[in-house]
Parts: sequence; C-alpha cells; structure tokens
Amino acid sequence: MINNIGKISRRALLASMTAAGLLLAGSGSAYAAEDITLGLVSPLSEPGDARSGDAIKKTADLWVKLINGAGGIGGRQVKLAVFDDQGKVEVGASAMERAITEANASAILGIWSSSVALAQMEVAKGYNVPLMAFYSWSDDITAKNYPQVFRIGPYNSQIAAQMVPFVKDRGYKKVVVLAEDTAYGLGFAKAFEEAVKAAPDVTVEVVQFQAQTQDLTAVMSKVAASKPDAVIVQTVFSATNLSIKQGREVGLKADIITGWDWPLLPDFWSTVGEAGVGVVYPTFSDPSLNITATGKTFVDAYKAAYGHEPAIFQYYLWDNFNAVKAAIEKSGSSEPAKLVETLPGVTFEGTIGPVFFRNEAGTVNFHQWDKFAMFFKKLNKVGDGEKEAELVQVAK
Amino acid sequence: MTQLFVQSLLLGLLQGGLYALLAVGLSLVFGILRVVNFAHGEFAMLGSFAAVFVVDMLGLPVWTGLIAAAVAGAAIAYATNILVLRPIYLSRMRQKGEYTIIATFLLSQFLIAAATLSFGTTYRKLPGLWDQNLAIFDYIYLSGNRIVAFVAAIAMIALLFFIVYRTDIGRAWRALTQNPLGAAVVGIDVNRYANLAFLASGAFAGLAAALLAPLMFVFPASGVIALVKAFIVVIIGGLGSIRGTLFAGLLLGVVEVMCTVYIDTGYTDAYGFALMIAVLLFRPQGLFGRTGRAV
Amino acid sequence: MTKLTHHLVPLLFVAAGLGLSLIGLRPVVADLLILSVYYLLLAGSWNLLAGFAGQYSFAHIGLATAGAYGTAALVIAGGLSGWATLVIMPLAVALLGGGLGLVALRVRGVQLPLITFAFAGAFAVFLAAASDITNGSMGLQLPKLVPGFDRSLYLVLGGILAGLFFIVQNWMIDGKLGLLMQAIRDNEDIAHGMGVGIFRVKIAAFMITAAIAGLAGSFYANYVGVLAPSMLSMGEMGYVVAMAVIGGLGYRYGPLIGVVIIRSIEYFVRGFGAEYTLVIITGIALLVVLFFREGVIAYVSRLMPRQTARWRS
Repeated sequence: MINNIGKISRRALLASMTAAGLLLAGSGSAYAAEDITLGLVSPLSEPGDARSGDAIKKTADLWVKLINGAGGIGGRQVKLAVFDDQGKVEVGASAMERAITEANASAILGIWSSSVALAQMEVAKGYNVPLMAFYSWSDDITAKNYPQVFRIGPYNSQIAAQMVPFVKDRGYKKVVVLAEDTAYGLGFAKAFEEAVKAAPDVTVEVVQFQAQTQDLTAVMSKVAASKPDAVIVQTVFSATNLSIKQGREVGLKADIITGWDWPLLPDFWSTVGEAGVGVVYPTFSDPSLNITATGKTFVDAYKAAYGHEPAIFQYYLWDNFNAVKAAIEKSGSSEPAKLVETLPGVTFEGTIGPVFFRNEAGTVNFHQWDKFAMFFKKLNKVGDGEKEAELVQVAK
Repeated sequence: MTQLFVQSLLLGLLQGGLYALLAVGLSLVFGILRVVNFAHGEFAMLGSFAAVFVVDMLGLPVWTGLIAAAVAGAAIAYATNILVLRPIYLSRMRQKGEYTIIATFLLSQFLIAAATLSFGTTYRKLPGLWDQNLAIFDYIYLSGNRIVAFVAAIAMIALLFFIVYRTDIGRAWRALTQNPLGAAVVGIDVNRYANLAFLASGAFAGLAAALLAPLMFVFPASGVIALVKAFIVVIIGGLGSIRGTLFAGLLLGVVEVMCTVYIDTGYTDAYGFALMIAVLLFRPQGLFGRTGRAV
Repeated sequence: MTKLTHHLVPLLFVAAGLGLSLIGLRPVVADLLILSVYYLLLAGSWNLLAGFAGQYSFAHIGLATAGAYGTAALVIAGGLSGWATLVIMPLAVALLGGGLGLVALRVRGVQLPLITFAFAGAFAVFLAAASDITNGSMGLQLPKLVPGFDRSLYLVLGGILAGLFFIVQNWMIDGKLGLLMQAIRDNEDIAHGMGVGIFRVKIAAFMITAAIAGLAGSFYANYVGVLAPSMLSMGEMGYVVAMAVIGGLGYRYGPLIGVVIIRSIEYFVRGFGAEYTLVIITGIALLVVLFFREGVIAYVSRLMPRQTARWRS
C-alpha cells in the first residue's frame, strides 16, 4: 500500500473517470535523493496553540539553516517538511502520515499537544518512524513504551511530584489548581491531586475553565473568595496572562504560580503589566543551568535571528533535532527504521548537558531523557526576564 | 458569602453594559434591513486593532484609540454593506435573510483568517483610561477601566436612544423598521438610511471592543466571542429593540457571572446559549420584541 | 441530465470505491478521498435541508459530532462492533434531527439559523468541559473498523456510502417529498394554504438529513479512531456551508462539486503554506457568494448548450 508511488500516473488516469480525479494530480512530488527530510508537525493555526507553533517553527528553521550552513549531516543537506496539525487530533495524525508517506520524512519532530501526540504515536508505530516529543507532558507518551516514541523533556507525574515539596516548603495549606479543559490542564491537575496525597495537610481544589476563554473575572472572583494561599495556573492560551491580570483585579491575594515559561514570552509584560509583579513561575531553565557550547551556539544564533531569548522548550526541541542528527551519523543512514533502532543508544552534547535516553521498559522512563531540574522563579519588578527573576527554589 | 455575591453581581452588571454596546448595532441593522450580520464581531475585532495601532504604534493618547476604533469599525461596516450585503438585499432572490447570513458568515471567517495572517496570533494589550485596580472598602474589587467602560457604554446607548427617538434619522429608521414599503412610499431613501445604520453599528462595535480591550486582550479570533455574546443579547432582548438590547445585555452579564461562580466554572459560554435557546423556544420574539414583528 | 443518469451516479461511486481500493492508492490520497466522503455526506445533506427545504440549520455539524461520539459510546461502553454503529447511529441521530425539526416548527426565518447556532455552541462547550465523560480535548480513542493503515475497505465503504447518499437524494428530490420541501422553501404560507402538511414535511426533511449526518459522523469515528471537540467548531460548519454554496446551493450535484473544489484547494495549499489555506478557501467562497450567487454549477451550465442546463433540479 505504501510504496506504490511509481504507478501513480496510470492510476490518476483511471481515477479521473470519477469526479475525484482532480484530487490526485500533482502527487508524487520529486525530491532530491541525497537530501534528508525531517517532518515538522506543529500547531501553526487556530484552534491550535499557534503562538507556540510559531516558536517551534522558528527554532526548526534556525536549526536547519545552521546545519546546512555547516555542510549538512554527513555532507547531505537537510530539508524541513512542515505540516500544520491545527491542534486537532485527526488533522495531526493525517499530517503526520502525509509527512511520512509523501515527504519521506526520516523522523517527525515539533509535535506539541499531548492529545494530538497520542494519536500520532499510532501512526509512528504503524510506519515505524521515530516520533520525537519534547514538551508534550502526558505520561502516556512514553509510558505506552512504543519503540518509535522518544521524549527529551518533562512529564506530568514527575512535574507534579516535584511541585509538592515546593508547596510544602512555602507553607501553603490551601491550593487552587486553575486548569484549562485540555489534556495539558486537566492532565496536570489530576497528576497533582495524586502527588499531593504525600502532603496530607495541604488541600487542593481544581477549578476548571474553558481553554479559549477571554474573560476569567467570574472564575477568578470565585477563586479569590475562597481565599487560597496559592493558585497554580495550568494553561497555554490567553488565560496564562488573563488569570494574573484579572485575578489581581478582583482582589486575589494568593501567590500565583503560573506554569510554565509563559512569563518569558514577548507578550507577557506588555499585557499583564503591574499585575505580573510577584508571580512565581516554575521552569526548567535558569541562568545557573550549565549551558553547553551547543546550547550557546543555539541561544546566540536565536537571539541574532529573532531578537529575543528562546524559551526552555525550544532548547529541548533543539536537542530533539540533534538527537536525530546523532542517530543519522551513528547509523550512517536516514532510514526511519534504522533511526528507531539507533536512537535509544545515542548520546550527544545537548544544550544543557549530555543527553541520553533512559530505557526502562514497562515504566514511563522508556526512551525518556529526564536530567532536568525544576526551578521556581519569582518576578520582582515589571519587565523582569529570566536573568532578573529571583530563584526561590530548586527541585531536582 | 455576601461579599462574593455582591462582587459577582456588580461584575456581571458592568460586563453586561459592554455586551449591550456590542449588540446594539446588530439589533439596529436587523430592525432596519432584516439582515443578521455574522461579521459583526469582526467589526469589533478590527476596531480594537485600529485602537492598538494608533495608541501603541503611533504613540497617541488613549482617547484617540477609542475614536480610531469607532472610525475603523464604521468604515468596515459601511464597506460590508456596500460590497457584500446591498447586492443581496436589493436582488430578487428568495430567502434573502438566510443568504445574507451565509454571506456574512463567510465574510467573518475570511476576515479572521486574513487578520491572523497579517497581525499574527500574539495577544496585544491596549492601555485604558483608568489603569488602576480599585479595592472599594476592601469589599469590592475591580479595575477602574471597567467603570470607564460601563459609563461610556451607557452614555453611548443613551446617545443612540436620543438619535432614534429625537432626530430625523431616527424617525426614518423607525419608519423603515415598522414598514419598509410604506417608508419607501413616503420618500425615505432606504439606501441612505441603511448606510447610516451600518456606520452606527460598526462604530458602536468598534468602540465597545476598544473599551473591552484594556480588560482583556486584542487578537484576531476575539471577534468570535464578541459576536456570540452580541447574538445572545439581541435574541434575548428581541431583534430590533434597543431597550431590549440594553436589558438583555445586563441580564446576560449577570447570568454568566452568577452561573460561573455558583454552578460550574467550566461552562461559562454555555449559560448564554441556554438562555438564548430558552427565549427562542418560549418567546421567539424576545423579551422586548413585539409579537407579530415580521421576523 | 436524464433520470437515468441520476440513477447511474450511485453505481459510479460504488464502482469507483471498489476500483480505487483494488489498485491501491497512496495512503494520503486515500485518506483525502475517504474524508471527502464524510464532507460529501455532510454538505450534501445540508444542501437537501437548506437548499431544497429552505431550513438553514447551523447544527448540522453538531449532529455529525453527536453521531461520532455516540458511535464511540456504543463501541467503548456498549461493546458493539463498529459495523453495528453504522446502522444504529443514523437512526439515533434521526431522532435528534426530529427534535430540531420540532424547534424549526416554532421559529421561523432567520431565527432558525440563530437557535441552531446556539445548540451547536452549547454542545461544543459541553464536549470540552465534561471531560470526565467525553475525555474533552484529550481525545476519545476507539478501535477502528480495520486496525492499521489499510484503507482499501474504507474506500469501498466510502464509495457505498456516497452511492447510498445519492440514492436517498434521488428518492427525495424526484419524489413527492422533494416537491413539498421546495414548496415550503419558496413560500411557507402559500404552501400551507395549498394544503402542504408543513409539520410532516419539515420533520421528515430534518430526520432524513440528520440520519445522513449521523451516518457521516459514525463513518468518521470508525475511520479516524480519535474524536475531539474540535470536530464541532464553527470553522468546520463554515467549511460545510462553503462547500455547498461554492458548488451551488439547491443543485443536485452542487455539494459534490463544492467538495471536490475545496478539498483539492486544501490538499494543494497545505503543501506550501498552511496559514494561507483558510484565507484562500474563505476568500473563494466569499467571491462565489458575491458574484456567482448560484454557485459554480449554475455558472458553468449557463456557459454550456441548452440540454445540460437541465442540471438544475
């Protein structure tokens, strides 16, 4: 079914007898055999998280530019086949299949939403093509133990577990988790409720809201009235900034802990203003991180190209690309099946330290890199960036 | 907890004033032309972008942003009427009402896509006239911008009342609402007054969006929510009734906030839909619509 | 076109489905064709409802979504096979459609689009928020009819469903029901005065088109294997409306032409710039609405000699 490209023109002729013929023209696009194609399947348009999709695409474009500028991988140029998943599971799955069967991608990168990723994993498994996750946090992604799926980045249950000591140390007794109604928000809320059982004197309330909302005043009024010690905000859409702005507006006095690196995105201070002062954000990034030479190259090139600092998830994405590069170099082939075999054993210098995968079958730590530390950082004045933010606590 | 109750009630009322301002133009246009305009939310969205452009990029004072938003909204509404709607309602086709819905629906999808392409998806903020969070007796908390927006909204709706009931334009509008054929017979120029109605409708939508922007954000898809709210308000209040729109706006604001706080935080948008369905089923002409109105 | 040609069309689709499954298409092309059947069923049945019966419902995509989630419920919780759901869900969704028909009897004119818009909106909020039931935007996974990536069976099934749709459409349009529907569309009051049973005709039109939407949803669920609330966005409804309108609303083959045009554009545009897809598609749809008000079919048939002008039903 898959490798029938050669016969397509005759088929197109046959099929054109039906009204569908038009759809077949132009298939079988030519590509240079020596190029390596990598598939980038990301949310590039609404209702997907296009803001993050944009950051992903910028990172990927930069990587390809640098690699090709340095002569490619083993003398072969790298090409990016970009597909939009629109944040929809079915579109993501079919975009991925298209990247594999049509663009002949050696590996798929740039995947984002956990829900989309879970559907895409089935495609990766079916075609035996590596799927590289980085900031899709659902435990299931690696816990399902698919040989084709790899993750350089954190996952929910570990994050939640690392958060509990922080909550205890800060003396929070009553915590509200403000979660958007997606895999990201509710998945974390569930993991946190589970993990917090280790601290019996902390009560947790989950407040769910519509992910695409533009008005949280009512929700925040309710949260403020229950007088919590801390509010943990778990969302990726406009609510990242709205919850802070409108929470303070309706008199929320609790500490706001906003996940995750959103305060570093360029629209944070311009939209939140004064209300952003005092916000704590957990992150996997800190100036104390040991940025390697690889990492420095990335950060410098990124700043030069786009004029602002990359967020930490873009570091992980960079490592994802380098993992694929390392596997291609090690196996001497860009065949997807070869990469699936080689990837579990690769080691290379990542942006923040050496990268290698843990391969403990039957657990979530399968094809999973987990050498990240979690930092809790506080923004003390308007305009604070990563360097100015005060480091409150570190969890390893 | 009385504090939460009072706070919610007040937030709902303040929010409702803006809903009414968003919806009032939609209602006006419907009354005069029997056109349901699905692109109304995009008038608002583009108006708020105009305000951001004037205030953020050109560095002009905040109040000029409000004017820019009203002007931009009015201009786009005017263009929509001339280019998209007039050819349809002047044609001899059947089911014009339904067809204008499809045309404006596609127009709205197109404007959203075009705005996403040209402005990007980043959230933008518009500074307000009173950027301060107030804590009144440490009992009620709200932003000064909310008060400014509410006062402005009520003032604008009062202005519209004045136009509709005390000026010749308003008399012509009312005549067209009551009987388009009769109005034409006595020499009222439908085109001219339709254009004026669209200008007013776009200006109100743009202004409402620019007043809302300091409380929320500006981005391309923001018109969708504005449209949905405006629809709900217009249906509840009765298509074509300004009084009904004001009342329904306040009602929707209060119902949404109260239900979100006291029933379930996850269903905010559904409460308005439920209210709208109930009204359409049990009083299809709306709370303030006259029975027998040719809808 | 004569009646005979209308009756040959379903056969053509069934044959095409069989033929395409035998020669083995590339998966991406097969995927495109199979999902085009989903859109054809939706745009086609919406055309029957809006273009022929004059009932502009914006809840149509909501009915398909109900069919899809119903399928998932029957398969996951009820343990039924996917094949059974293809029969059960159309019947179940027809009942929902009957309910909408009752609503349509109460409201008139532009109120119908508005109230159906509200129904769809409320349903979408429910699907995302009630995540303990629907799994929200995490997506609800269900086993496919055929595990793996072999699409040949789906091509056959898609051909059969498309054929089935055209049989139902021929039966409706050429039969008494179609005439009564068009009478109501053209002038409900006069039709009522002439003795058309408004109640029966409207309910029948809503139930039959809802059954087709339910079938489309069930087919979708059984094929894609993952459901998410994004299936029911107003953008998706816009797609379906655009397909019917571009092809020609109120024309027998309007939706078919619309589906072919839009799906082709989508396919080719996706390759070079996803962000332009929506602008291009909505832009074209808007131009058609403004300048070729009766769609591509009417425009083309006007350019052709007189015999073919009878495409118009």
